[in-house]
Amino acid sequence: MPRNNFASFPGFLIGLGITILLTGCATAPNPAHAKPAKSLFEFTAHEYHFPSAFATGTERDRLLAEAATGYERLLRKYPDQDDWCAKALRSLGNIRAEQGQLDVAVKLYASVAEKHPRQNWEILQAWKTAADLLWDAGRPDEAKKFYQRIITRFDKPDAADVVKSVVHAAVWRQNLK
Amino acid sequence: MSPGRTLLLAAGCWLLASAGYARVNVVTLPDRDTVQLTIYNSADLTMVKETRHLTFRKGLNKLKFSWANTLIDPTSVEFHALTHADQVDVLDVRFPPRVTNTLEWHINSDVAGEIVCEIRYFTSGITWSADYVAEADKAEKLLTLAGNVRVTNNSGEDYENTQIRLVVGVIRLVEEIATLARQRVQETDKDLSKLASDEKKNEWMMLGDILEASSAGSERAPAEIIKEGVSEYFLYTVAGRDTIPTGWSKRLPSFQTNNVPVTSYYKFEKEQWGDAAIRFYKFKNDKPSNLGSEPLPDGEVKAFRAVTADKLWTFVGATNVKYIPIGEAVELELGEDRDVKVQPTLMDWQKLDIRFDEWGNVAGWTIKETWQFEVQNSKDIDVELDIRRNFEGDWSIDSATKFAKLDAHKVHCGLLLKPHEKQTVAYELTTRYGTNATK
Repeated sequence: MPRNNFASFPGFLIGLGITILLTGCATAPNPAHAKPAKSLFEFTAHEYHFPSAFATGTERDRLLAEAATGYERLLRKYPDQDDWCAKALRSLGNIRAEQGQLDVAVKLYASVAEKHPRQNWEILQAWKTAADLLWDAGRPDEAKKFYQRIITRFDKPDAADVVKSVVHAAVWRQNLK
Repeated sequence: MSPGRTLLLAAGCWLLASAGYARVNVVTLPDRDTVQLTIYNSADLTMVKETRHLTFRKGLNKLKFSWANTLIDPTSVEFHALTHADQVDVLDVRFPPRVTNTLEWHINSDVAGEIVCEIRYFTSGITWSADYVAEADKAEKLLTLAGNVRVTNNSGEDYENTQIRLVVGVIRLVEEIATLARQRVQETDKDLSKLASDEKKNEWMMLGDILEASSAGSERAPAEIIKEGVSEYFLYTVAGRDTIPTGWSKRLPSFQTNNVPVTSYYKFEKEQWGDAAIRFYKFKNDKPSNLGSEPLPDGEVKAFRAVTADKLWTFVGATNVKYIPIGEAVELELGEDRDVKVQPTLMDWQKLDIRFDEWGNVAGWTIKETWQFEVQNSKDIDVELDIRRNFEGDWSIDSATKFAKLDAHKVHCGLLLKPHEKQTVAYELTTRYGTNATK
């Protein structure tokens, strides 16, 4: 029986947090925000997120939590920065996946396209990661929905080599029974 | 080692063994065998091609590539097997959430063993600039011209033992590249669809291929002319290989040509340069001048002149030159030379032929000025001097020296001064105003 994320108070808070984050990133861009948004993203990535990949135990947990806080702060403070918000949202998805919160991660990955429809590269990465994580978790039906989105949006004859490879794999997975 | 560099090392490409997905330690990574940078200066775009000998197992292999902390464009990354190409397939590309800004190729190999692979991508942050040193002989009749290229790497990635290729010529519009790319594509019966921003990189890749094809077989040549449809562009291959770490720039020798005929001359034009006579060197980028095999890119020229037989040099001046196509002449404006003096003096001034209208107001008049120029060559070589004067209104000039009209408002006269010679040039300028003016 599928677990309901909103059945518990912490789950409710997570859901509420995501909703607030997602509704924030839709305002007109403020040019003055571009530089601080970039700085905040890069600081968060370099100081916490990248090192978390090479850390273990409680140190890894701490770095992931700090990274998540940094990305959430960016989404709150600079919701008008389409590219940095898309990156932050996908990176937040990566952190939740690393923290074992697959459903939260998938929701964040899906929201990249909903909130930042022009950020093709981030959308491709987000959908592909969501699909692969779901596939590896033994949830092929949910994974196939993401593979189908990839095919529908990115299957073009003049696509870049890397995109073609992603689409090729999506088609292959989609056709598996 | 800086933290950024540590990350870069850890985030490079590494091969994972197939069956158990056991990660081979990053330090066992084989170095890049070759790296080639093709720098499109006008677009802040560099195509990087690196080859490595990778040991594959039969079956599934994983290869990770990270662009963290770099300016690499991940959408442009391509993997190709150069050997056993028909037995190596990219099955999938993944973006593992654990390591950010990383992609993971899932590669199926039908063979076990060493395979030569090429990874290519675009990065920004690598630029180049040209500069030249021009050494004139004592008589200022012949030049030795040496060209250098400074490559600056701020891409976030170190490039070791790298072959550097430079695309010379301003590539003005992506559409031009698309046109060139289409020519190539038509040859191979491929269709290139309409332009869109995401497709630009493909076209740059194609241009890289075109240029590469044009220079095939002459990898070590200092330069190679690009023919046919890409004749507007030119590909330099800097001789040898060099390492350019991120954050560094390196100056690399490009060419040196002796015995380039040069004309040294001076110009005096008060409106342009004040009271100074300005020295110019002029030479032509053509075969008779022992040049002309390649266009010369924009850059600074530092000029020197030999002052003794044993080649003691004196600095003449420095200037920036624009792109010099093959066959074109270039004029180097090298600044003031105090050994050549021009002293204009107003000797006489008269207001003549004043006319009045019916109310007694001045309606027309004529000004007559007598000017004398003393010119002096304090050098020990002949000097060509071009004196230019600008006039407004209805003017005429009278002189024993021949002044030629350059346009409606400008005249000039050419003088040849022997070493340490003084000459005097005089003219009378008549300017008519008001009702006296006839034009």
